[in-house]
Parts: sequence; structure tokens; C-alpha cells
Amino acid sequence: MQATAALTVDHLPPQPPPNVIRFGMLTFLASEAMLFGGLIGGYIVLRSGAGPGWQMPEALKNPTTMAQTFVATIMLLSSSFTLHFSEVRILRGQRGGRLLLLLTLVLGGCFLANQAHEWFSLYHEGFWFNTAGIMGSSFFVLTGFHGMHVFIGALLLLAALVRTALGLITPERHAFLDCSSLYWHFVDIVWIFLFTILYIL
Amino acid sequence: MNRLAIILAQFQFWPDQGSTLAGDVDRLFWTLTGVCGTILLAIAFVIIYFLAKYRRSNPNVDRSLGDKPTLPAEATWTVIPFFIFIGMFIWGSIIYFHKNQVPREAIEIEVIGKQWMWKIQHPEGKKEINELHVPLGKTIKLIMTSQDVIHDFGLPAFRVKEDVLPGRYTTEWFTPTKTGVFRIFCNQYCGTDHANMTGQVYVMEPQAYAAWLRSGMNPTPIVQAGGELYRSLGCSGCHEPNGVVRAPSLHGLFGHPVPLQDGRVVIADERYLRDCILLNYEIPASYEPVMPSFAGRLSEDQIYQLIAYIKSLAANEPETASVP
Amino acid sequence: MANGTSTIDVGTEEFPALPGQEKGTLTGWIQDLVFTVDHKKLGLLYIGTAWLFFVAAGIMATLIRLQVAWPGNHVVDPATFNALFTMHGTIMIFWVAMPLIFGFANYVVPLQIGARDMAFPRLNAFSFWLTFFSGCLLMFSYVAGPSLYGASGPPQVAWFALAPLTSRAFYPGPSVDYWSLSLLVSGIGSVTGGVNVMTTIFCYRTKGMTLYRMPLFTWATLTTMFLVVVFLPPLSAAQIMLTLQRYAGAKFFEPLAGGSPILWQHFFWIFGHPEVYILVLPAFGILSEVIPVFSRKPIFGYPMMVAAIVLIGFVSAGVWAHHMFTVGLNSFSVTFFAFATLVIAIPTGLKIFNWVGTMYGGKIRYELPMLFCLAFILQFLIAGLTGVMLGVAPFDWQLNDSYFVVAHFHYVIVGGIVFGIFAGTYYWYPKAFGRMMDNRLGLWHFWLFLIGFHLTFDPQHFSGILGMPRRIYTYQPGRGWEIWNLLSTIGAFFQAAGALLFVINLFWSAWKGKEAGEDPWDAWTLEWETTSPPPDYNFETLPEVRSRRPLWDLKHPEDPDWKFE
Repeated sequence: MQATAALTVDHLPPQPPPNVIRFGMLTFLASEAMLFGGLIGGYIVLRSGAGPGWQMPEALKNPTTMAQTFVATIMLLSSSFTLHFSEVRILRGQRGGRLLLLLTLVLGGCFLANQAHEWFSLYHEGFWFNTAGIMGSSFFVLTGFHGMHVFIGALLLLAALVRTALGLITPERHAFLDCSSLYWHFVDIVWIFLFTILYIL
Repeated sequence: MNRLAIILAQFQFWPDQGSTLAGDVDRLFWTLTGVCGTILLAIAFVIIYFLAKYRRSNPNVDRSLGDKPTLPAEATWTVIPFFIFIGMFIWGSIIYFHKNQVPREAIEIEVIGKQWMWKIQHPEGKKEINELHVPLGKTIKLIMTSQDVIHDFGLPAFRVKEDVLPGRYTTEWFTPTKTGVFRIFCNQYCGTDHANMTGQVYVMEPQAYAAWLRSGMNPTPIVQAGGELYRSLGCSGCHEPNGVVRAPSLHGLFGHPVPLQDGRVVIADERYLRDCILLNYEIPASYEPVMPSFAGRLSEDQIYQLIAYIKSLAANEPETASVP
Repeated sequence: MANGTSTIDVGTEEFPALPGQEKGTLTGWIQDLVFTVDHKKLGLLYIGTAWLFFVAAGIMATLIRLQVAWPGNHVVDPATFNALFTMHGTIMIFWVAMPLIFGFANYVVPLQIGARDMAFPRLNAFSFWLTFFSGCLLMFSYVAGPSLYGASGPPQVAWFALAPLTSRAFYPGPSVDYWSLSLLVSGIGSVTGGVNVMTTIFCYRTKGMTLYRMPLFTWATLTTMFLVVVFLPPLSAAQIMLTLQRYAGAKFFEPLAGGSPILWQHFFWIFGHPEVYILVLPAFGILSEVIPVFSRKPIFGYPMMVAAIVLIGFVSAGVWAHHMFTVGLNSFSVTFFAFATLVIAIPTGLKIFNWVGTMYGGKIRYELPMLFCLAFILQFLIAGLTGVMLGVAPFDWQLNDSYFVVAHFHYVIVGGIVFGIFAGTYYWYPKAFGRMMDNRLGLWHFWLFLIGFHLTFDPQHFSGILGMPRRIYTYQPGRGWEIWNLLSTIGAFFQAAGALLFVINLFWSAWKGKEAGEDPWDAWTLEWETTSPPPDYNFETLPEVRSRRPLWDLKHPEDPDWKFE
């Protein structure tokens, strides 16, 4: 119990232990979930209000787009697994962790590239924020918001990769990697919901 | 000083009771005020009593009472308020459902809100602005919509108030019980001149009302105006029996269930007709979605006239109905 | 997780002072405030910011009251008036009440649970500065120049900014954007602050401080922060949608393109009603600390008090649509929300009864914090009862959006929350500054504010019943509202005088107040164990707790509480 306090100066606080940081991150993700929950809820309300008048454009429903998006979804989901195994390896100090992390980043990048391609082709089909009434608004705000999160998650993972390479993330000190990967998994789960309501239903 | 005298002369505590609903609402109000006031006074009394009795400077008081189990007391003051509140809830709900049932025989008057005025039109076609003339003792149903932002048509003396929204109809009804002038307020903040979006309701004897309707210019009744629109816009070309395109007949439609293509069944009310004219997605079963949307081509007035005309078609029997 | 982390090594390294920062100089002091990550300093910064904005929004309120003091008065023009009440409402909620809640949570909670600081001190500073600068952003709208799209100016959309009034069609300039973006930024600050406080409470309680032994203020703060983390994001989502609607052509709330203006109201009130409880729960917590200490008796029914707090937190999620009874919801929704509204009154009532139960058999001291608590109980009771009356659907057609509603929620926020905050300030001020607040000034403040409060808001019930709508900048004579409005305006000046004395007292007592010592109130929670003001590291030795009243155990070793647990 005897804490050795620095009694004189404005000390910078010590780094909180990893379990505390993880708890904070989970709480933060709860609020992120409510943010997406709000957007998805709004989408559901608008869509049920519009009834059968709700028609997504053909560009979204043709088999090629569906197949591409499905592959991208699979890539994003499998990136969660590669990330998990990468984390396990890094925490155990085994080899291959960094490679798996890089693979995760590549998979995430492919997903983003597909999203960008899809937006681009939709724009050329004349489907955009301000066209097609609330359908366009809802589709782009949901995918755009999620895409932004994927992008931020990718930046975090990139930073984690660099920190691993620099030896700043070790089996003893890994809160940054923990949080980035929690964030990444969260973004994946959100995509499962979005894929279901935007493309399948 | 003079101003103060005027202010004191204006002292008022309770609004007029101008409709059949007012009595019900006021009874509920006074009962609730009574119950709540009693609770308040009882608690205030207990607090003051404790404050006096258990003040620190009072040595001659038994203070050994604090260690009793707390749960029985807590259960008491959870359960009793619960039943009081449930009672209030049930009573309130009864009045609420009463208010929700619009009597069948009602004069339907159109109200359109826009920044910052009320446009009102009677079924006979008479129009007024910021004024509403109604006959005594008849049930009045207001069908309201807005041209821009959300307004609220509040009639304190009649104890009714309902928001007026763009893009949809809301209704409120009342039966005035005394003649006189009553006030209309816009209760929902709607922009710069919200404070001046007011008006008067004139409740008149039925004969006086009839005379008032006849006075001035002789306008086209709403249904007739709707009928003219119905033909000039080409609705009759499809929706009449000998039309060129197969389209559902509008005779006897209003107020009846319509089976839709997606399997749902909706009642053909004002909302349904409005959406059919403007958005055109609730396609009746076994018809093709070929009707063009009239969004942007019709004013709120014209939409209302068309709906009133379609309603009038339902009032006649389908076989005997003919286009006037 | 509760006990495992209680022994935190605060570190033996000595960090050098920041460059240019010297103790005792003005620049050093300012730099200290700007760079600090200490929860106590940040707490005081939060509270100081709140009182700063309180003065600004209070002046706005006085102008509003002057304008409607009598019919046809002309103090400001309509556009200015509309901006005044929009800014008054928004600032009072987001930059007065919220920072006060966060300030008290910051200052008191780590001390009460025996922690050395918050879990994430730097995040804490981040949250504070976001809150501060978002408030500045909103205030900046008063001086901002025009944008490409039109003239600027303060927002005039009322604090709940009903769509479609917020569309570019009605306000083409950036005024609405100042409103929307500043709320977005302050929302991020509040959420990160909430995450921080929750993590602190869950992970940094000292040894032996189980959840069941936590002080009630900490419990209330925990529930509040949960509500912040969960219910602020929907508001942020709505602000994002609004901004996209204004600038990217999205159509969410645009009725003519299939959007729904009602959707905005749902979004706003899903946040807006829990917000009331976000603000009032910590006030409940303050009462639950003050009343036992000044009745010299432990709180009556601690388990039920905790249960009531948590229950209020949960039920508050299901009452939002009672703000929307007049928009034409279907009757099932109306009945459901009317019922939920009545249900939430029951745990609230339980709390009031338990406070009264705490006084029963006590030894009551009439100190300033206690006086404010007593006023709180009665005023909050009235607020709750008018709330129940408003929750009964038929009244809503009479009273919704009238001055009755204005009176009701000012009873909640001023009569309840502000009085609770005053009680908390008088209670914890000696801890923060080591000096007592001046009693005579405090009494003047109490009575002036109490009289002013009732003079202002009691008459508004009557003008509301007589049909006076909210947010009107003028009205015609002869509607019976004159006398009520005049009284109300006079009351506003009493309140202003009271608030002024309070602010003077804050400064005066820090300078000339009586020395307080560690524990001036003979209280029982951990914050009174350390010196006043506490050192940077709070406790020289992290204390160990064996009951709900650790200091009682310390002072009465012959009769400790833990024997009965």
C-alpha cells in the first residue's frame, strides 16, 4: 500500500495498466455503437416510412456489384482473423506477427478500394447524396461513415505495425495494439449489419 | 402607475371554457392538482416538522429510531404513489381516446400554415386568413398541413392543440359551446415572426354562420373546384370507367380498405390519397404503376381540393355517381 | 477489477517543470492551467468555464425577460430575441450544466473513491478543452462574418432546432452550422469525458471500496456518465445528418423528398430526455451526500437509493416521445410513453421520501448546503408533479409548448439542478480552497435566489395555463398574461442579484474566508481524509475502506460501521 509519491513536482501521470485502457476503449466503442445505431435506426425509420417506394439503383443490385461487395466483405471479415492471429503471435513474441499485421492492412485496403470503386461507379450512374431522395442520402452516409472508420482503423493498425517494428510494442507493453485491434473488430461487426441492411434486405 | 392599473385590471387566472372537451380536461386538471398539491403539502409538512423536531439544538428528543429496517417504509412509498399514478394514467387515457375519436358528423375545414399566417378554407369555398368562423354546437374537424416548417394550431379555450407539419395531414376537432371570439396561437417555434402568427376564432349562431358564408363574393365550393381539377389534370381520363388506361375507380374509395401490391391492406384516408397523388408508390393490387407523380405541380390548396373531391365520390353510391 | 489496481505507483521520477514555467508568476500560473492534467485543476477549470457561460446566458435570460415584461415592449428586435432564447437554452444546457456535472465528477469522484487521478489524465484535459472551445465556437457566431451562402449571426432555431426550420431554405447563412458543429464538438468532449469517469470508477477504486460501498454521489455520477456515453451519440449522428443535409444535398429531414421531420425530433429527444437525467442525477448524488452529513445519520436505505438511481437511468431511455405528443403520433406510442413517464416518477419519489427518512431521528444542522438541499427537495417535488401532470396526455394539448412547460423545466433545472449544484459548491468549496465560504453572503445569496426563483417561475405556470406560447417575442395586451409576465421579470432581477453575490462570495472567500481544515463538516467520505486543498497526488497513502463511511470508522474505532455490514 505504501506508494512512493513524488511530492514536489507536477509529475506526468504514469501509463495506466492495459486492462484499464482496454476498459476505456470498450466504453468508447459502446458510444460508437450508439452512433452507428442512431444512423442505422434512422435508415430503418426512413425506409419503412417509404414502403415499397424504396428502390435502390440498378447499379447496386446487379450481380457483378453484389459479387464484388461480397468478396470485399469476406476480405474485411477475414482481416479480423489475420489480425487476431497476428496479435497472438506478437504477444507471445513469436515470428510472423508483423507479416500477418501487414496482411490485415492489405485486406482492409482492398475493402476500401472496392468501396471507392463502388462510389465512383454509382456517381457515374447518377446516384449521389442529393439525388434519388433519401435513398442516396442514407446509403452514402452509412457507407461513408463506415468507410471513414475503416480508414481510421487502418491508420491505427499502420501505426501499430510501425511501433512493432520499432520495438515499442512488446509482450509486456501492448495497449496500443489491443485498442487498435478492438477498434478494427468493431468496425468489422458494424459492416456485417450494414451489408445486411444495405445490400441483402 | 397607469400601466400597472391596467395590468391589474387584466388579472386572469383561468382560460375560457369554449368547447365540449374543456370540461373533461379541466376536471382532470383540478383533480390532479388536488392530488399533487396534497402530496406536496404532506411532504412539506413532514419536512418542516422533522426540521423543527430534530434540530441539533433540541436535546429532548428520542433519536434512537434511526436503525429500523428501511424496506417496509420504502415499499409503502413506492406502492402508494404507483397506484395513484396508475389512476391518473387510466383517467388521462380515457380522455385521450375520447379525443382521438372524431365524431362522424363534422364540418371539415382546411387549414394551411405558412410563415407566418394561417390560410383557412371552408367546404363552401369561402377563404379567410388568420380568422376562423365556425357555427355554435357543430363539431368542427380541422385538416391541417404546412407549406414550409412545423407550426402548431393551438386553441387554448377549446383545450386542443396539434402540430401542423409539412408533407402530411394532422387533424384536430372541437365542438364549440359558446359564442364569442377566441384566440389562435402558433405554439411551435417557426421562425422570426412566430409571435405574430396568431388569429381569432369566431363562434357564431348557425344562422349567422350561414349568412356569413353567403356574404361577399361567391366562391367555388371545394368539391366543385376539385372536380374541375380532376378533369383538367386528366385524372378522369384514366380513373373513369371508360378511361384509356386501366386505373382503379375512385368511386366509393375513401374510407375503405385497399389491398396493395405488396400484400398490405391500407385504409384509403387523406394520407393515402395524398401519397398516391404525390409519391405514387402504394400501388393497389392488380394495377400497373403507370400514374405520374404530381409532386411540385400542385399547390397544397389544389391537393386538398382533389382529395375533397375524391371523398365526395365516396359519399355517393358507386352505381349512381356521376361526374358533376 | 475492483481491487486489483488500487496500489498504483505514482512514480518516483521527478519531471522537470515545463520550459518557461516558473512557480508564482502569472505566466507560470496560466501555463499551469493550460497544460495541467490534474483532475482537481481540470475540475475547477470545468466549473469556472461553466460559471463564465452562466453569466453570459444569464444576461441573455434577463434580456429575454425584459423584452416580454409587458405587452408590446421593444427592447430587442424579433431576430435578436429568437437568437437570445436559442443561445440561452443551448448554452445553459451544454456549456453550463454539463461542465458543472463534469467539473464535480472530476473534482470529487477520484477523491471519493481514493484514486490519485482519473484513469486517463491527458484525455481528461482533451475533453475539457473540447468543451471549452466548442462553447467559444458557438459564442463566436455573434461576431462571425458572412459566408458564401449568406449572412451569419447567432442561430435562431430554438434549442431543439426542429427540422425543416434548419434547412438552408430558411437559414442560408452559417448560423445553424455554428449551433450544429459546436454541439458535435462538445458531444465528442462529453463522450470522452464520460468514458474517462466510468473507467476511473470501475478500475481505480481504492482497496476495499466495493461497488456496494461506493458513495452515492459516485453512483449517481457513474449512471450519469453511462447515459452520456450511450445517449449523446444519437445527437451527434443527427448533427452529422443535418450538416450533410445542409451542404451535401442529403434529404433526411426534407418532407418533400420523402424525408421525415419527425425523425429529427426522435433523434433529438432520444438524447434530450436522458439529458435531463444526466443533469439531475449528480444533483441527487449531492443531496445524498449532504443530507446525511447535516442530519448526522447515515443515508436512509442505501440499497434502494442505488437501485433508484440505476432504474431512473434505464427508464429514462424510454420516455423521449412525451415531448412529441402533439405531433400526431399513433395512440399506442402516446399511451406507452405516457405510462413510462409516470413510471419514472416512482423511483424519483422514492429518493425524495428516503431523504426525508434520513432527516427522521437525525440531529439537523442548518448550514448553507443543507438549506439549498431543503429548497431542492420541495422545488423538485413540484417540478416532478407538474411533470407527471404534463405526462398525462390530455394536458399536453392544453399545455405543451406553452409557458407552463417553460415553468416546469426551469423548476427541474434551476429549482432542482442549480440548487443542488449550489449545495455541492458550498459543501466542497472548503475542500478545494481550504477556506469556508462566507456564511452571511451565502445566506443573502440563498434567500435572494430562492425568492427570485419563485417570483420568476411560479407565475409562468399561470401564463402557460392561459395559453401563452413559448418563444414569442411580443404579445397583445388583454390576454391576461400581463401581471404574470411582469412578476416574472422582476423575479429575474432577484435571481441575478443572488447569482452576483454568489460569484462575489466565490472570490471573496478564497481570499478572506475562514480556514477550513481537513474536515470542516465532520463528514464520512474519503475526500475529507486528505488536506484541503488536497495535494497533487491526493492521498499520501491510498486509504483502505471497510464500510460505506470510512471516516466514521476512523473517528469511532469503538463503534465502526463495518461491524454491521
